[in-house]
Amino acid sequence: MTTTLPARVAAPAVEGSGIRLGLTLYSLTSEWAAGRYDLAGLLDVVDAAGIGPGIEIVASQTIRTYPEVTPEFVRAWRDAFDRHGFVPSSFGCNLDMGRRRDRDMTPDEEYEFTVTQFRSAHALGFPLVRIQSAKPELIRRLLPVAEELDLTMGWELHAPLGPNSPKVLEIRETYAEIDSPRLGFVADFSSTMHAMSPTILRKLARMGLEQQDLEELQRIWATDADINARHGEFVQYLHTRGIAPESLGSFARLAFNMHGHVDPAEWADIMPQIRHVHAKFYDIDEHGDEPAIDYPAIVREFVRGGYSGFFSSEWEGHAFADLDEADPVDLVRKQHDLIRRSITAALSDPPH
Amino acid sequence: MATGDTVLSHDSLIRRPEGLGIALTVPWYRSLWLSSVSDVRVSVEGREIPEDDLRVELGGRTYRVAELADQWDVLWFIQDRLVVVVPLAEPPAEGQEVDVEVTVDLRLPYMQIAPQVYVTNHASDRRSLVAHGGSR
Repeated sequence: MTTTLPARVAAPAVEGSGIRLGLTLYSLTSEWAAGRYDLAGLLDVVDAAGIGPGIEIVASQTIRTYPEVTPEFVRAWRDAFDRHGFVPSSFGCNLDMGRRRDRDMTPDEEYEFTVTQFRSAHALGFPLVRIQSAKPELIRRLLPVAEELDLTMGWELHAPLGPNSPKVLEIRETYAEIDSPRLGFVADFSSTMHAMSPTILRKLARMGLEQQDLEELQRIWATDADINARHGEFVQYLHTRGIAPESLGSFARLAFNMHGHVDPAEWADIMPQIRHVHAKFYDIDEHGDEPAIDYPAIVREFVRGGYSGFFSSEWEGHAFADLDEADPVDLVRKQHDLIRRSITAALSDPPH
Repeated sequence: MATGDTVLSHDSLIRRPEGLGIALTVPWYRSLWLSSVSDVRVSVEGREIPEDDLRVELGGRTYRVAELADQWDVLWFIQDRLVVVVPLAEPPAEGQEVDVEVTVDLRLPYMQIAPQVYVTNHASDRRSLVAHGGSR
C-alpha cells in the first residue's frame, strides 16, 4: 500500500529566488544523543525557533526501527508535520555494507537494504533520498523503485571532493549514460571551505596541539595533495614534534576529510543536477558570517545558477564541540539570516 | 566531549548487586549495529577488568563482549544506553565517587575502505563519577 502525504510547498527564503530554508535534525545530534528530546519534542523546538519548514533526517539516527518504519512512527510523524506545517526535504540513507563481520553485503542485500529505506522515505512523505553509493549497477536497479515511489536519488558530494574530482566525474558519466531526471546530487558545502573551521582548531588545541602545530596543519590543509598524502604529511610532522598521532584520536584525519577547499565557482558545473543542499556550517561570528565558509560567494553561484530547492542547515560543530558548548538552534537561526542576506545581495547584483 | 568521543555521561554509573553498571553512549552520530562494536574495555580505579568478566546489556538481553561481533541484526539506537556490568567484590555505596575509564572501538559499517575493511573510531573516556540508583 502506498499512500502519499498531501504535497506541501515551502515558500522561498527570499522572494525571487528558488532557495528554501530548513534544517537537518542532524544539527541537533548531541542533544538528541543525550536524550534531551523525543522526536515530537525535537520538532517542537524547531517550530518554536522558526528554523523550518524543510526537515531532513539521517534515518539511522532518527528511526528506532531503522531501516524500517512502523505504522505508529509514520502516524506520529504525519501528525507532527501537519501540526507544524513542516515539509519533508531529504531522507538520509546509509548503506551498511559491513553490517556482518564474516562478509560484506551481497549486491542483492545492498539493493534490498536500500529499497527498505526508500519505502520508509516514501511513507514519511520525502521527495528525495540521500544516497552514499553510486555503483552503476545498484543505481540502475534502484531507478524503477524510485519511479514507483516518486523519489529523487541524490548522491552526496562532500569534502574532500568537489564537482570535478575524478570520482565525481565518474558518477557524472554514469548519470549521463542513464540520463534520468531522478538522479542528482546533494551538494554539501564542506567541499568549498576557504579555511579550516575554528571549532576543530579549538578542539585540537584542547587535545594538546600548540599554535605552531595548528599553523602547520593549516598550511598542509591548504595544499592540493590528496587527503591521504596531506594526512600523511601531518602525521610525519607530528612525529618530528614528538606528538603521538593517536593522542588526537580521529580528529587529525577528520580535519582533512571534513574540510574541502574547492572553489565555490565549481558548483556551477553541476548546478542543474543539484537537487538538495547541505548548508554545512560550524559557527557564526559576531558579524553574522561563517568564519570558514564564504556564504555570500556560494549563494551567489546558486542564485545565478537558478537553483531551486532546499538549503538544509547542517551544523556540524557537534563533531568537535562538547554538548552545551554551543546552541545549535540559535546558530541555525543566525545562519538562516546569513543565507537570506546573501540571497538578497546576489539578487541585486546581476552578473555583468 | 564531541559526538565521536563521548562514551560516558554524568549519570553513567549505576549501582548493581554484582558491582557496577556503566551506561555507555554511542560514540558516533548515528545508531549502529551491535556488530559494529569491536571492543569494550573497562578500568575501575585504574585496574583493568578482564574482558571475560564483563557483561553487556541492551534491550533486556545480555552478551559477552566477544559475542557482540555476531549481533549484526541488533541496533544500538543512539538514544539507548549500552550497560556494561562490572563485577566488584564491594559494590560502591550510593553517592560514592568512582574513577572509571571506558574505551569503545567501532567499525563503521557504511564507510568501506576495501573489501571487509571499514573506517574505525576509537573512543576513550575517563571520569570520576558518582554511583547512583538502587540495585535492580
